[in-house]
Amino acid sequence: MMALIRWLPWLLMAITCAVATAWIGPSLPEEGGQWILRELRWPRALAGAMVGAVLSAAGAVVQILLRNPLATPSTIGTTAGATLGVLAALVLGSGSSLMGLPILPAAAFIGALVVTLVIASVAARDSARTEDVLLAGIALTLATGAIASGLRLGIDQVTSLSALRWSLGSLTIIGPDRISMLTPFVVISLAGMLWLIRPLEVLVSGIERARTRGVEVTRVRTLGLGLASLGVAACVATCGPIAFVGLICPHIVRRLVGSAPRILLPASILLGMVFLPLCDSIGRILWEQREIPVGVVTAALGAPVLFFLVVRRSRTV
Amino acid sequence: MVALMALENATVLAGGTPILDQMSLQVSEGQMVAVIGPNGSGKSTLLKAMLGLVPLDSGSVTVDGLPLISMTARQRAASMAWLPQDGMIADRLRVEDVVASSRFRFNESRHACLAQAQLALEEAGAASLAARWLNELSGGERQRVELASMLAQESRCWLLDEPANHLDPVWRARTLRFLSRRLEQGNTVIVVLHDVHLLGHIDAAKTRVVGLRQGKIAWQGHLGDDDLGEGLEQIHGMTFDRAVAGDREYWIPGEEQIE
Repeated sequence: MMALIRWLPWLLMAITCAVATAWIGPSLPEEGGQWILRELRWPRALAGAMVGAVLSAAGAVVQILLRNPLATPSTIGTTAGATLGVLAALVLGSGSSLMGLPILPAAAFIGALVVTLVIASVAARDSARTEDVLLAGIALTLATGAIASGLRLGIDQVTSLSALRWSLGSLTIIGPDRISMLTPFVVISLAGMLWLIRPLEVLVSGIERARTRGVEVTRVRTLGLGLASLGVAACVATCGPIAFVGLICPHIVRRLVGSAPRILLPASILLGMVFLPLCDSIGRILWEQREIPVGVVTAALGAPVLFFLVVRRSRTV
Repeated sequence: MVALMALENATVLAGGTPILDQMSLQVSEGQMVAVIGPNGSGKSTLLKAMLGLVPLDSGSVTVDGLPLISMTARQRAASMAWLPQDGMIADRLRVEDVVASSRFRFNESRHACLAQAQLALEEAGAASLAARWLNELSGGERQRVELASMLAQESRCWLLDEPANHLDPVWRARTLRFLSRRLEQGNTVIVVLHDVHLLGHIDAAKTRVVGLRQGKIAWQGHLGDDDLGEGLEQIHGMTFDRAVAGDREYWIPGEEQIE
């Protein structure tokens, strides 16, 4: 309760900043400007805030659980798994449903979870080094990517073109229907990850230490990776794979306020809420008359960050 | 009387070779046990087996007569606290958060948790470190934080794996004296030492010495026993010279190889 009150001003600030990004972009025409703002840009900012929050939180949680600052949904293959799931669903026909769930998020979740659990089993071995986890992630990303490309040949040209645009990661296709599909997944995933903060606080001191301090590590790890995968999968199903948010945001937060999950996780959520809509708006103004998909913007920012982190690590180790 | 901790024919295999070989050991409440032995003799594995961190290939571990495998992680944490060998992860974490996190098993409010963490830090002589970053501490300061975390967990039995590693001589001696104090407070202490020289720093009376060699107990007795020197020879396959300083005795490896 106390924690909620303490974070509330920050939450309001983040929401304000996220909404404010709607005004960044080509100036609104006199006529219909309000409509563009209300029907296009605000929903985009809203979706961007939700997706950014989930991706950033998922990054922080995965990093803590795998004890690896470079692990994120996009570096360990979760995103790629979800992408494969979505493409598989498109081949089957996006209108169908699976066990009552809309097939896109369901298939994305299955793909994301399978890949994440494979990586978790690699990371759980005693001998696993930081690099092993990332290499396994790259291997799985390449493998699922190859299958996904193959699947793309199996769908008709119109769907294929929209699938290609989707696979760049973009918030342009967001509408009220997508937002309402996204919302429950975002809420469950975020609430679940925040609920795990207490055991995560112990886990930062090491897996075995946490076990001797009373944490049921296996259960927490399965739950945490599952919740992260669920959130990431829903985001991928809605707006395609958007990489590196889970790497950049928690990293900045760590630099500013430290690694304690009690602060890292909520602060990453808030930063992600602002970061992604901001990247989306940047993509809107960089190239006149054209829009750069937000996934391209985050990748352009994130790849150098990853590179820098890897180089710095290899120097210190 | 039921032993606080008991190992019964415990075997741990690594690729077919036993690291612990049919080991049986009982530790009663309030005992101080020093586990010694050469590298690779199974000292760390013994502690991890007691904590349930490595699965046994055969045999059993019981705590208060209860099988360890039937206990929840919280119950285990109430019985046993562990100080591992590898040292703390140097993350950007506040000292008070780290100490507070070792009270996970209590499920208490953050306020109460921090208050207890502060008390533990004071008792370990580290009250001034509470707001510092873990990754900016010196070796001796980290040791105090480690001990404060153990205190905060309020477990009955302390299992320490070479707690004097990487410390300067003053802090080595201090750490071992700290353990003797815990014993007076009613804790049970099982401490792994690879440097037999450190036995001389233990000032608790009736300290039990358990010597491992190749996964078996090669010798056991007590500090101050007349045949301790012979015991060390059996454990290490090496002669030892006894040196006396004040009322303490120290054992120094000799030149001569036995066998």
